Amino acid sequence: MLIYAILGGLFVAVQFMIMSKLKQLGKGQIWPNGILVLITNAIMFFSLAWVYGSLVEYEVQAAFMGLVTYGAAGVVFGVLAYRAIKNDGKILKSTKN
Amino acid sequence: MNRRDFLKKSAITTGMVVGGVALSGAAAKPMKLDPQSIGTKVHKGKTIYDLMEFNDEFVPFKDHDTIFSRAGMGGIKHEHPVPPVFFKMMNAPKEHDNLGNGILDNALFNGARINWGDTKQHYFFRPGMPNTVDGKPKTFESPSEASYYVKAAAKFYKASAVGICKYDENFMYTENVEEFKELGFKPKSVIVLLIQMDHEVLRLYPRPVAMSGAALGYSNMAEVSSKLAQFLSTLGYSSQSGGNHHGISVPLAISAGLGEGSRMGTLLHPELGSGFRIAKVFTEMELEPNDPITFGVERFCNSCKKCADNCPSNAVSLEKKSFADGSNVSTRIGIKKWATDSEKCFAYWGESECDCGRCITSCPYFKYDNWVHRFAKLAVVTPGVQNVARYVDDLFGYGKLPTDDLYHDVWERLYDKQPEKL
Repeated sequence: MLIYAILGGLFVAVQFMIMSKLKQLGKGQIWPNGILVLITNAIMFFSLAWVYGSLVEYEVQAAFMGLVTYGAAGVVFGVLAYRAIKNDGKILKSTKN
Repeated sequence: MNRRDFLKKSAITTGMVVGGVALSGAAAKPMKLDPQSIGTKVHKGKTIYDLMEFNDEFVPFKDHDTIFSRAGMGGIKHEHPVPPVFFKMMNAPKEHDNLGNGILDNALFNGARINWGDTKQHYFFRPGMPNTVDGKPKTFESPSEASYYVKAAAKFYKASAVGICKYDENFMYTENVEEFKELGFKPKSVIVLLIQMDHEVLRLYPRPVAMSGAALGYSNMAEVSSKLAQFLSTLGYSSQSGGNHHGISVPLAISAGLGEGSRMGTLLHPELGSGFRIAKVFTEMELEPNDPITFGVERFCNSCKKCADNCPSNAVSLEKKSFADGSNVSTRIGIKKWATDSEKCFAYWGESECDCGRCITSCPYFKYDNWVHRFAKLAVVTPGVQNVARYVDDLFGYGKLPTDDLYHDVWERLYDKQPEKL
């Protein structure tokens, strides 16, 4: 229970810190930067919570599978968020450029 | 600290508390009464006869024909190819350090089965007692109100789930074994209680120590149902508690809205899977019956078949639902269902000198009750995803045979168990 409370708190704190930093850089718009960061952050903390929950049950394979599947989804959204932030709100660079 | 910083830090602190509490709440264990899980459909005004197919061959089942009766348990001797030697292991553990089959495991089992209801002394018939106010049975404004108090009492006595159905002769045993003769009164209602078995120990099947989980379940069902019978008797209504006896548990539990019949022949509850025992209390009290529920078990069991694949005796059918042909007297005829071969199952118990619950523990519904699995169940009730649920379950490694490490871990977890808090 305490671990989940800490993870929940960390999730909120990390989201707040990233958004504060983005605002300082003038890239704090809600869409797409804020939303993509939120999704990435949520998935990453979800996968950590899944790993902990599975290890508590001694389901090691489930823990790794959760890390791989949910973590991979988090990485995909993380890349999208990174590119959106880097390219001033445009998620994908034009291939022509 | 200026006003702006103060507001910022307040917002962070509030967010951390709210986020933490939200996630902590997700890990809490709710009491399972009247299952209302996501994906569960309540069939208002319907009965088991509307949800299952019956044919003309359907007749009440003889207690003499159950596999336990045929094997000579419960006071009647019937021939069976394999005698009930599965107790042998526990009476004579093989080795001191045999994991799951040693002296410690034997002791755990014997302690757990101390009150396991194999004789009628463990279950109580209680005639209605005159109350001290006017000597008459306590009356309620409606059956609904009476049901409310009965369910609350069942919860207090630690039933994992409770449902109510009308008394139905079709699901009562005929030709009862000697220990469990007729009830002695005409019941109006049946209260069906699910008693969860210890998940930690049960998951060690097929190691014999897992029998301790079932044995403790038996002891608890005798205790909980007898307490409830006493409660009803004190209100002035004759009541009889029962475990596997008197009536057939699975159809009564389906009628009481506690779940659906599964491929492995057991009841499947939306939250508990099949990791429980079923106890009943027959009572003269008029109670409001629950409506039966469905949550997609038919479709799920049709595609999953994990229990059948993991059954060491091939007793669980891989076929579709059908009407039994009567060649095995322990398989009930007249109801369309997945027929399990209890002769094969029980023969395996004899050969392995241990009972077996691999079908229950390999079932994708047999999971801890926590947010991880509640999240996974959201996927299971999603149309189209059910068909792949079994493969995802395999991929994540659930329902595998227990390892030596798991055996040691289970003892550690039993040691670390926290007392239940109010």
